[in-house]
Amino acid sequence: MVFSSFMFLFVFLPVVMLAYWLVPDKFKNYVLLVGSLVFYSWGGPRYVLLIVGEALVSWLCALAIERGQTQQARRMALVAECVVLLGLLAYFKYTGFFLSNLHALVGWPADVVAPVLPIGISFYTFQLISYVADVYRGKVHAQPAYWKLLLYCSLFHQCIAGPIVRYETVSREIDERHPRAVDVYEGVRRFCVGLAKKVLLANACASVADSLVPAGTGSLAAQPFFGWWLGMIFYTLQIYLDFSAYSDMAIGLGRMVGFHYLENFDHPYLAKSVQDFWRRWHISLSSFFRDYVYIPLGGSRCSRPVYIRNMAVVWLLTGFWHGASWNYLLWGAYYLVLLLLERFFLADRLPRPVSRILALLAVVLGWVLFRFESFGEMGMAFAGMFGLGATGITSLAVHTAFLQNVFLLVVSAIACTGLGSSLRHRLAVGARKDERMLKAYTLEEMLVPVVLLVVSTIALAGASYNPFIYFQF
Amino acid sequence: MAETDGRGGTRRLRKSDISARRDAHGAAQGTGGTARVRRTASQQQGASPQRTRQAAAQRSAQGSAPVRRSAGKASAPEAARRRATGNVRRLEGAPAGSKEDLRRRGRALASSRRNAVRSVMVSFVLFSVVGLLFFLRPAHSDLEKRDLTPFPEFTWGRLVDGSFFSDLSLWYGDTYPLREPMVRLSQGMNALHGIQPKTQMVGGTVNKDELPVDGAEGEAAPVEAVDDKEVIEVPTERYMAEEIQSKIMEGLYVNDGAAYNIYYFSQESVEQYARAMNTCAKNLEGQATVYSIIAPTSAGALLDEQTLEDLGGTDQLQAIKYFHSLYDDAVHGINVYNTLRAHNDEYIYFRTDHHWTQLGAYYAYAEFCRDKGVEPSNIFGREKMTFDGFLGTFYSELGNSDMEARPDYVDAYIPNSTNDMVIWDTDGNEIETNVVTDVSDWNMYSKYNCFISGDRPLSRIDNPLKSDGSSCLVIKDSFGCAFVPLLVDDYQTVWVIDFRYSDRSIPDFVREHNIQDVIFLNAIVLAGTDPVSSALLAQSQNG
Repeated sequence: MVFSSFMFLFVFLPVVMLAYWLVPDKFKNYVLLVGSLVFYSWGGPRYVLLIVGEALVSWLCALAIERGQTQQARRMALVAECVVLLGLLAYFKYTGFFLSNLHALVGWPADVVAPVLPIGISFYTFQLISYVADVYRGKVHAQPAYWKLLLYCSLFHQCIAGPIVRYETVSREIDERHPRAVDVYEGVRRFCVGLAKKVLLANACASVADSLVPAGTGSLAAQPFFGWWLGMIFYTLQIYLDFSAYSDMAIGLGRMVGFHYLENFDHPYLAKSVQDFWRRWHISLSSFFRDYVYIPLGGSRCSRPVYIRNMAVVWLLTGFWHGASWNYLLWGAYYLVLLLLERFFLADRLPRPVSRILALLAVVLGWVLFRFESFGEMGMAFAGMFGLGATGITSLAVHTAFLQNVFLLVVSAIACTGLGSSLRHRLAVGARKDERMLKAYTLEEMLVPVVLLVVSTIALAGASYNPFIYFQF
Repeated sequence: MAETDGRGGTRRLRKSDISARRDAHGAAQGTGGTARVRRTASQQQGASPQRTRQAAAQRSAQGSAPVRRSAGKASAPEAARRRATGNVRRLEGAPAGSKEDLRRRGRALASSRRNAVRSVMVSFVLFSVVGLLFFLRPAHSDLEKRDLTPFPEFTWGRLVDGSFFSDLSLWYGDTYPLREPMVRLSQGMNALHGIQPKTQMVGGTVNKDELPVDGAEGEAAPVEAVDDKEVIEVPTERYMAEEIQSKIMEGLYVNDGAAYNIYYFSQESVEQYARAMNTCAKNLEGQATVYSIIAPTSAGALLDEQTLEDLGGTDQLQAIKYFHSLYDDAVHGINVYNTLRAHNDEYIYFRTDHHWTQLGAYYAYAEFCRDKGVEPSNIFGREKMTFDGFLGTFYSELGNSDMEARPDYVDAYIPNSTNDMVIWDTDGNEIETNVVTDVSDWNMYSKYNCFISGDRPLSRIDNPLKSDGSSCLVIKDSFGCAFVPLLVDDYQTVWVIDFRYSDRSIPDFVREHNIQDVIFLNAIVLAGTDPVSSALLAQSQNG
């Protein structure tokens, strides 16, 4: 089930929230757990066994670590956790990749049969590993109740699309949450904002990007220079708005019931450098790699070759985490090169505006690697974007797509900045003194969530519009 | 920040008035006003029983112990003091920035936020309740001309692999009672994405094959017919429908409220189509004559040469010649391109729909008669029905407001001999209907269905004025609908098969009913589509 569906919005969420509201405090977590398991089973009930099993392994390993007498025993438990969880992740996510490469190399196996990827496995695997690793380091206590750990990793807010919530962030709130009126309000508002971002902006940007730079259709060769750029700019907007909208909705859903998840995005397209971009983009993932891979490897306080090795490991893993295909590895390697370049050669030597523009450009070009799994298409994309394609500068189709979506482009670009929240802040400050500002502020606070919800619902219905011209009766 | 820690907030709440100012200040900043919000709730306890209930409801919704505690702790004298100062009117006179003034502002803010949460909750409840009105759930969409997703069939297998749930979600959203009005509203919202230029090209990023040079000259060698042993993979109906649709809509040139679909040549499909024609002709040697009519798109028939070249599609005249060059001598390829172009100042194609009008079909029919060596019947002397306000498939796809302002109309000429016909639906039921149906009351998207009851697996029209045993079979896509009524006066029996909903062997059928003329009529974009040519080839084999 996805958040942006009628089923979730008008069946699942109201039922779960109503039950949550009706039951006494001590049963609220059970409501969340049952709701989460139902939510998870929507994508294929058999994989519930997987998440239940992974949580069980992690629960046992964490307890073993906490009760372990010797350092060796504790270490063994951590190793067992990593082997089991990463093994399962590798099996489900990367089998197809390795087999198809093997097939390409030696012609064996004849038929590449890959397991179906269980929804959210990349997210909850990392959540559970971070939990056990934190127990190992003594940062958190092991959770004595198995079902509470299962609740932590399966919670429908963040289970299938992140953010990768650390156990330490929510360990206390699992047992004791005290949402106040402002939490409920901010949670509801955040959810509605995220929904609108997804449905009104990201989906619309996706449809422009798909019509201009459709991956995997072989029709890219006909795209002229401006078509490439316009398509990739819309894709750039789509991928941020889509992903951050999911995080917004997760954070909002959590806040409504008293969970405070950390922010996952901080206006990444305003980054001053590539390194800055990664401080602002999918923060829960980059901090996971930082805390559990990069720093244990020695981080940056080491010799240059070791540092480069550490960076290489982190960035190739980051790329590979995003998908089991060579283009994601290439995407990771691309950022590795850019970050090393920045550190050793550029090192803040560029004026700020130039640096910002270059960073943004690097990110847009990076999304080319991300979008096209086929190297042929990727090559076509770069040729087209650097004006080497043989298809001219522009076309009536590109012109039409631009004009038909020019307001969408502007609004989506603004949505990538902090303009909205800074206006809200100004209104809030003004409302302390000025009567009209107070009126405007209270009105804004009252209307924004519900208007966004209703408008998003309408757009969501519109997205299912699918005229079938040949099924006439 | 207070919001990250429930306990911190509670402590702050218990602090004296010194912190109240800071709280109100924080609240006005949008995120930090937790303590004040709670205090407001407890203040109202004394003020109004109704508000107390609401506050209590909200508190229990949060399941928050400290809130409950703080509410209970408001002592009697304190409550009395709050009652006294709780009057907003009186407070408005308080100097700006004063403690009282900030409190009043905080209360206004808190109350508007409560209203926000309430209205969101009410919206959710309303939408959910509407979702429960099962009897209002539509099964069919006129707007989209399709049956909506049915309630999924339950099997354990489908439950385990997740497809039952995903279909359930699809069903729930697709048949949601308010869906259609919301779809219309959202189309209005989509128009806000930008400016609608008068002249547009929608899509058109398509890789086409180059026409072979010898083909463009019409000199390629015919392709081999296939024998009956060859197994042709037949596409599913749904897949074929999707392919056809995307083919029709893949490049639309829009100018001043009229859309024109561009044709992109695909070598393989065209060869396969020709193979189907040749196979059918070979299997019917000595039995029937096979005719093939490839209908150009509106772009090919109507647009000027320069525009066509700029838009980058394939030259349809050259493509039709290429089709024909691949045919065996036994197949009569009838080129209707030039005659349609010669009449392109007339109303031969719709502006909001991808079909030709019956007038356009008539020029193709006249060309067919010329090849056959007979006189075309004079349709202009027939009784005519006109259906106004037609918005066709291009409109459904584009939602173009210029089209809305100037819809199409459908002229339908009723055959002189009869207006009765028989159709067999997909379940094989025999239904009596009309060659031209009065669709005045039908919705504005369905007017083209006035012809021969739309696309049917099999139809028959008997001409009571003839008894010479003459008969023809039209194997058609929807372009054939406007065409078939034109033949009715010329034959004793006209059979019609829409190959997309049929899988019978055409040669077997022709022999069984002793048919003399077999007419394949397809729009060029369909004829050049893989699933269409495969389906035709499979049906051209002997059974």
